[in-house]
Amino acid sequence: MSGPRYGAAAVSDVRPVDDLEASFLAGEPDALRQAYDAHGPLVYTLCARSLGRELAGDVTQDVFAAGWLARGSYDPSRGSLAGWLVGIARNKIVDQLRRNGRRPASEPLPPTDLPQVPTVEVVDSLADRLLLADAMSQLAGRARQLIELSFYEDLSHHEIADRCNLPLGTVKSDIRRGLSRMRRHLERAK
Amino acid sequence: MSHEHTDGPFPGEAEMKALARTLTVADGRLETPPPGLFAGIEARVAAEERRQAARDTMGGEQAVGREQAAGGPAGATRPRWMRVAPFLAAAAAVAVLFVGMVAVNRSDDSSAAALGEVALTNAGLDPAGADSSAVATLVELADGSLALDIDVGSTPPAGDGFLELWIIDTQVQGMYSLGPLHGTGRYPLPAHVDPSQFPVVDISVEPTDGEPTHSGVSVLRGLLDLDA
Repeated sequence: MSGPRYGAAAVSDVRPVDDLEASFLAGEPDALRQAYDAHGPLVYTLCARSLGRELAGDVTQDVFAAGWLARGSYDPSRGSLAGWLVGIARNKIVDQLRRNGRRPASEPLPPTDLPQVPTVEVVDSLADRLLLADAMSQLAGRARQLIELSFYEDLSHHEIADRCNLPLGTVKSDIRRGLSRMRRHLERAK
Repeated sequence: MSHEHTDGPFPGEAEMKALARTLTVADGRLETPPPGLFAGIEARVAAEERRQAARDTMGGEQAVGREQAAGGPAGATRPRWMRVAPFLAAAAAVAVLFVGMVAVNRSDDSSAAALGEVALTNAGLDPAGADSSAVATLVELADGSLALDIDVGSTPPAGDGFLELWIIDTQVQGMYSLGPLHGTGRYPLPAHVDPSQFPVVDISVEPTDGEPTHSGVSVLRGLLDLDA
């Protein structure tokens, strides 16, 4: 790893709870709909790629209904709403995979997908990848660009600053904020 | 995934970087859920809150006390219940509409008592049944036996196979076949089967392969609400 190191003091830069998370937690009337609009594709994609589309709709409905009813246990200080919902989805998917015997089989998975019966590890990895991709897609343009340079081109913060003609401090703080948001997004419900 | 004490420039950065390098094109492309899913979410929430409200009523002070002691949203049950009231009213209006339709269809049948009914929809299921619809009514016959009355609005296409009617548990684990679906008609439940344990009414397309289990290709489905 070639990047500069931050001290431990940098760790506590956690994104404030966003509006949707606050209204979801408060049980405001439209918050379930908004949460579904914001995170339905993420949850549905995880379900569809793990279980097939046949079961994905049903499990997705379960995830949001269960999440809404259990919203009192969502703690925004521990992670994003997206991560929390994906954690619920992951648990429901694993439950579903563990069931055996006479049940409607899932449709064959799309060709881009994983083995026919994914293991728990495969579901966990998929959940993490979908959350990370989702988190990166939500970063502001510059933070995203800087993190992509750091991740994919292995550039140090100095090199990124030179490449982008930005002050080193700006690069560092942008990347730190971006990573902090991403890390929060990756915290799944247990 | 724990990032608390990871060595590196930023806690979890090395893990995130490694993970980011495994991303595939597909990981960045989220699928759009099929239309109609959200109505099902609201229905599940409403059904569960109704059950909770019923439990609270039965359990009296004790149940409320437990919820508060458990750190639940104290006093939130009633407001939540009230918030879904418009949806329930709409659902009730639809139910009344269906009751009316069923009553017209079955005006000659005074010996069967309806215990619950549900509109079967294609939401989230195999798109082959996208334009199909049906209503399932659980009835108790004069002899005490149970049956599902199926009113087929628009028959799903079965291709080279056939349609089969099922009742399934909410875990989608256990199920009973009520046999091939021949259209609108009455389909008896096996004796001693408790329909409240198998409230999912499901119509599948089955290939003629001699395999007695569910094909996995569901084209219509609904959840019977059997709360007393």
